[in-house]
Amino acid sequence: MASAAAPGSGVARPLLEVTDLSVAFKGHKEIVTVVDHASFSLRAGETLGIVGESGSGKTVSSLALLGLLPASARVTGSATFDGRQLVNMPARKLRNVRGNDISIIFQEPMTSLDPSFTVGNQLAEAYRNHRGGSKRAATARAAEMLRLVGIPEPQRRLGEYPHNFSGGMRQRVMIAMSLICSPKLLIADEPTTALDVTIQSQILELLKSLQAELGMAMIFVTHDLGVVASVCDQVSVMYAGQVIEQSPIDDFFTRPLHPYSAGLLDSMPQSVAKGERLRMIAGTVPPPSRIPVGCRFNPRCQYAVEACVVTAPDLEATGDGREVRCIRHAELSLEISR
Amino acid sequence: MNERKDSDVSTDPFPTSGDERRLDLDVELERDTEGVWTPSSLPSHDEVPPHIGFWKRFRRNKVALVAAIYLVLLVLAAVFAKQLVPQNPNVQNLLQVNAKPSGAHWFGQDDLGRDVFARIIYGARISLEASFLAVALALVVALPLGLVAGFVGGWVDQVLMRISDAIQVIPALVLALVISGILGPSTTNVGLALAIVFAPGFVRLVRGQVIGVREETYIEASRSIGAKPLFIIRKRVLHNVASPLIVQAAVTFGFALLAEASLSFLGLGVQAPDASWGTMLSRAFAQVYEAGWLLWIPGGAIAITVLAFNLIGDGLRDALGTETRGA
Repeated sequence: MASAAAPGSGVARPLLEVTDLSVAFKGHKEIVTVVDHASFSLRAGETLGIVGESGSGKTVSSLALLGLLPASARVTGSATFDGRQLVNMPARKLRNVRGNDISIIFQEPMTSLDPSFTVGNQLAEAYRNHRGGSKRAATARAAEMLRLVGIPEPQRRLGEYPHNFSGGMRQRVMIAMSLICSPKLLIADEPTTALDVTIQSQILELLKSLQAELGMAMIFVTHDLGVVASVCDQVSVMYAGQVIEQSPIDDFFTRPLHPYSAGLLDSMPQSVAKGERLRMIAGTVPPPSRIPVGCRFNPRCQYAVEACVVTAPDLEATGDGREVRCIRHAELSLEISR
Repeated sequence: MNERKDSDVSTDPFPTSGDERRLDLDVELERDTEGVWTPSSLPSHDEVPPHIGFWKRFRRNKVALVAAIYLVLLVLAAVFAKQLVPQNPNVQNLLQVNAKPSGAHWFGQDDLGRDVFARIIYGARISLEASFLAVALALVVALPLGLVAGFVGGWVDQVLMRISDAIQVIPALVLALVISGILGPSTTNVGLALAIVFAPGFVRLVRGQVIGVREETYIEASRSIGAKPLFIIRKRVLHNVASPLIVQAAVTFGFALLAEASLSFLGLGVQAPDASWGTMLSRAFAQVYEAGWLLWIPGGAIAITVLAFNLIGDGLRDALGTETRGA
């Protein structure tokens, strides 16, 4: 089944197909739904950006794919990866997927490595965890990975401890660790947020070139549209736990379909002339316990009409490979002038 | 904090100074960011990595080093007492009762004319044995319990912690006294009693560390690459819990020695004619008007050894401190 989409078979089946993924947390009194029927898909080798403000559910959805949420989380829906259902997969099977088929890198490179073991030890461990083999072979592989992520003198650096590495270098090590078993999908959860701007661009470049070299698919979870523009093929915009727009990257940046997307693009510093005040979307994302009736964005939307407060819009396909969750998308023209 | 910032915007706490020079951002951005920065050319934060350089760090603390050497010598002397001390510690010589130190008897002779030096060395054996038993037993019991309490949490944690509370509300010495009173006087029983007294402290320490480490990103990172739970506990958690535990064990060793001495002093430890430092102190105390100086020898041994354990604990704490610099 998994090999149905053989190379050259024309119609490539998506590598990952997420449909109606919902995540709810059991609170003290009520059940809080943090991700509500999120759907997205991506093909092998492709990069999907998941964008949204803090609290929009983007990190939670990516953690849910790997079953990394705390026990109080209830995940429903479907996420098929390479023919296998990830949602509610038994822990033992899921461990085989983690790191082997799907890897994740987090936003805190400073604390993602165990301070009491050498970098080489941890890299080799990550390899032997799935592939077994001798320590020597794993260490050789670790050195190879360090070279691949652009760390000079890999042999020497293998014997050093995480505190000998700078933040950017540690994120490189984390990338090496997540790719050591050649996964088909890499989830990058704001991989550059904790880094300096110059290091950010280095890491992005590195991820792009590694993708070209190794051919893995990537999911980029970020709130930085600049990052999306530079690495992604597709973008999914999340708002208050819902996917509100899904577009190929070029369409998204020239003609967003959802007023929220337009607002996000409009608030980028680049869209403002020098000396002018930065624009912003008034208000904040509502907490999961106080989701407005109707369209979730309506209290902040400048185009909201009466119908927006009443009916909750569905995610509609617009025909040109894009999807949007807005009842007025056909009448609005939200072209971005630059 | 954030709210305050918002309200301060109107008053503008940092008005522009009038210095409107343009920042040369373009120049900054044009710099080559593709090339890899090589930190190897720079000195690293600390030349000594956390565990490889353990001895190097420990050696820096001269006081702890001296204490460690003293303890090693003491343990060696206790182990090889037979080869080291020609005198039998239990042979009496009633003609030389309470004799002052001399060339033949370095620390003098006690109220039954026994060689005090020999008794100190043989006594060290018993005192250290009881303390070691206490600490080792407490650790063996406390480590799994603490891990379970910290990891599982919930009611398991609650039950374990309330039991710890129940044990810890009773003053340590009183509890040890009662337990060894029930078990009967012997070195092993003193060790057992002290283990029960010390275990709750270790359980708490391990639990607290586990709860702290459990939330670390490297645990999540480990889970995200598919590591098995037992592997995570054994490698990621245990190793990061070990440092404070080792320090605590060293300090507790000192307490155990002191407690053993107290119990022996009260007659609950090793039985005559064998001696631990506590029983020697007790006998000397009875002779305080005839030979007061006899008190100083076991008393000094106890004080110095307890101090040594504490100093080593300090040294270990400094040397084992896990490095998370720059984080």
